[in-house]
Amino acid sequence: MPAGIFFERYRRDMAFLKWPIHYVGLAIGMAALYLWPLAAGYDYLLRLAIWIAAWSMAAAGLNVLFGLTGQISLAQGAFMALGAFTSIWLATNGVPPLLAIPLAGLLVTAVGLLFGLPSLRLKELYLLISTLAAQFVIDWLLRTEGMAWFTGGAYAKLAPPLTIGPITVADTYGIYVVILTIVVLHLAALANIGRSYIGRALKAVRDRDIAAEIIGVNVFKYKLLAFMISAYMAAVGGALWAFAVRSVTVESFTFFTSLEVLAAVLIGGLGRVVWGSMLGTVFIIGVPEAIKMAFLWLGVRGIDIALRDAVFGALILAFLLYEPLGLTELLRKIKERIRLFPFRYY
Amino acid sequence: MPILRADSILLRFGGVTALDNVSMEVNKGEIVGLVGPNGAGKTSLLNVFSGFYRPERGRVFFEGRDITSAKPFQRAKMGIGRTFQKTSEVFKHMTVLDNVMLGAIARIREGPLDVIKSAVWWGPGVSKEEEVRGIAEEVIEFMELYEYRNRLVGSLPYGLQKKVDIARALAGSPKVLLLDEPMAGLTRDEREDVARYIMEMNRVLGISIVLVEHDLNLVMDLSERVVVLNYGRKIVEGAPETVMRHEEVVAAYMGTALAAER
Amino acid sequence: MIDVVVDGVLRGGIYALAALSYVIIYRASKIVNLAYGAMAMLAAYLYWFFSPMVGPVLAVLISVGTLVMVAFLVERGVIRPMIGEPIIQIIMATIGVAFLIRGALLAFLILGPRLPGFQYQPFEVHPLPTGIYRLGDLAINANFLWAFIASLASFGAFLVFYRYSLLGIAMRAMANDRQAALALGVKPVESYMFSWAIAGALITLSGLFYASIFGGVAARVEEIGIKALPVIILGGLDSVGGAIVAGIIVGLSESFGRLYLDDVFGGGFGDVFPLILMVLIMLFRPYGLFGTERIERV
Repeated sequence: MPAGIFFERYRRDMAFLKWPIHYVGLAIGMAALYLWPLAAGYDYLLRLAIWIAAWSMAAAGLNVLFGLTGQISLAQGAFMALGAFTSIWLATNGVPPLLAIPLAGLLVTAVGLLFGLPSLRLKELYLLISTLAAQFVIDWLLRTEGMAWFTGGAYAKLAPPLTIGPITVADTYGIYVVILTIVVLHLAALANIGRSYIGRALKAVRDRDIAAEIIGVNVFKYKLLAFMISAYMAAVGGALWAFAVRSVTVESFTFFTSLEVLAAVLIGGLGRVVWGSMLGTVFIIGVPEAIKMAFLWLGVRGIDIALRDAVFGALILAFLLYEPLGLTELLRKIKERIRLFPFRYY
Repeated sequence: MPILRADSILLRFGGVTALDNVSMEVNKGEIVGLVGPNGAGKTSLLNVFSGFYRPERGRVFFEGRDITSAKPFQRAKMGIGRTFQKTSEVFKHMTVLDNVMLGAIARIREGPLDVIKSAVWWGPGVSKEEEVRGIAEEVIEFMELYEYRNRLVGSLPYGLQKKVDIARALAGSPKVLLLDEPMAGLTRDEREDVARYIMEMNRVLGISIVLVEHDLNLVMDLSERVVVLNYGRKIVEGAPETVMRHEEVVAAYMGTALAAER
Repeated sequence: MIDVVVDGVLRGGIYALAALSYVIIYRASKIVNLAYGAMAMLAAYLYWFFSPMVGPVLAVLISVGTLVMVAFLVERGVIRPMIGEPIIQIIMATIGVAFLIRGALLAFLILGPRLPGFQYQPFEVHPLPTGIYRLGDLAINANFLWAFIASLASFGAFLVFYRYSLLGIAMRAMANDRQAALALGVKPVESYMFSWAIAGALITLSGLFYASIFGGVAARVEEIGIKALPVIILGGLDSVGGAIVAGIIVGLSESFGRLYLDDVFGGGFGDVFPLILMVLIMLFRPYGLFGTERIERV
């Protein structure tokens, strides 16, 4: 057991970065995130990283909703689509892209609020079914002819290039840096919300909503807030993806996307908003992609999508059955094992 | 002047009458015992006080204000604290410290922009948070829970979970504390411990207390006034000694045959 | 007008059958099986693959047999080890099952009949009679009619089994009060396994009937899993009788929605109309039209 005087003020004990090693770790981590493409330099990997970044936004939003607040949603895909199309629409109407992205998020948040309303009365299974309905209704709405001005109908909707003031960011690395910065800022903000009284109120709603209401938590407000945060994050994720690939169709975000995002949260770790969401997204995008590459390399064609689906399903099952707390918990266990190395217990 | 008052409450679930024309008041700074056999409506009355059940008829007053239509969380913020009968109501996936800090939400003024403020605050700890932490540590000190500060509540034994529940309620700085069987299922030592905390909260912190409990001796010792419920009706109310001798109370607790013998 | 009513009612029969399978699984395991669509699609493709070789009756038997096996495996390998976990986690597991089944089916289709994906394939041997019956002015699609009749027959057969057979009574007892049923000597494993097996068989039938509406099998068959959701919500998740009433209500709302509202809101509104209706009903009656309300206590 370490001993001695650690802190003399609560302020220090409550900080994220308590020790010098944390600062060093943060600096090294950020540098690695920003600079690895310069060393590796594959365009393919960079595109994969952008994909992961955009999806991890939606996953983090869902993690706040599901992991922290205990309210389930299967409509993240629909909110990503709304965010993507809204941001393109804003940008084509003269709003600078960097402003259009969060603005689209805020607009979609209103829709999230609307779909959060049933959560006042619905729980668990019923809420799951109602959000499933939301996914299909929004998906249908975006496909109707009446919305073709917004979604491009049968064609792809093209996004204007990403500009920062007078500079146009055209190369993949530049886009990666911009998107990574936005994602990091958002995840840090979520972590900050998570450690404030708001985070505790959300957790109280998750653990026991009736008791939470009686001890002074405005349950409905916090449920709505969680729905809004998750819709906002999904929409920003979708918008980032729209500006990264510059062309979006109604097929870009479907029910399958919602399931992917959900799987990312489950595999990454429920309630671990930052690390869980990021690791989970790396996993659900990286693993199927690795399988695909492995089969291409082996010269087997055609069957890769089938295997991707099957492996995806098997992974979800494996995590739910053997490590319900996800990758973060698995890593923690490994870390603990290493720390105690020659021995297994204290 | 009573700080908390229920005025002829009628509460029904389908065909069952849980509370039938019950009135009760809690004066400032006193401990009121609320007793009665199982299913007498004690917890229902507490739920009416804390706003979880809305009575069909009757009104609830707090510090002279009519709060019948106030929502449960609003009442908590006004200063009606509450602990729960079952430990399933503590927040098991949170640490003791988090539980106690959560309890402090009853005294926090929530602003509409707090989400954004806490999202963009990147320093060590938000100023409000530091204050909450201070309160929580004081409560933890008061309840002697320091060893368990960072343990998950779900991993603690039953007796400690009950204690955490009280600590959590206390962190909200209530004016009235509704304790729903705080000693049920505890050992003798633990009961005496809890009794001591109740006395201290009442005498030192000046909190008015409503104590629901099955252990009649303890209730009689602790409370200045006792209210007895049976089948949703108030049988009697008064000083402990007089209540204990009341015919109907004896009948309710020991059966009519024994009552007749006496 | 009468056409629309007939169409709605006939569709409703199929949906009711689909909902029944959800209800059986809910009563046994307290979950909603989101692998439903994938399982129905698997059944339809199996029938399509085997029917030209062995004839319709054997092909139906093969797909029923396979699906019952699959349901057994899911219950034994996934659901039972997870008893006691949060309900939502178990439902997530059924999503994993859905992916697993889709992947396996796709691999089979690519390697076996050499299809590039979940392509539309007309049935060579139809499971039900096709053509059109004329009753005065009224034209009834034979396929629909027979699907409706077969659905009702399966529904009826299940009800008889559920009400009068010993196993059915045991299953009902387990659904009502697990603890009490266990104390009275009901074997839990048996009743879970049979619930899932029956559900598997019913999934096969509803998948086949739904596919026969299109005259063949396609990725669209998976939709039956979504279409049956409004039915179970309306009827109440645990109500067997509610499923049939709600099935017909949903069928009618779909065909009326298609007739009157498609022009107003754009194509395909008929398909989402029941979903919107469902959400609205959930807002006002969270436990369905026939479900039982819970009283919360602390």
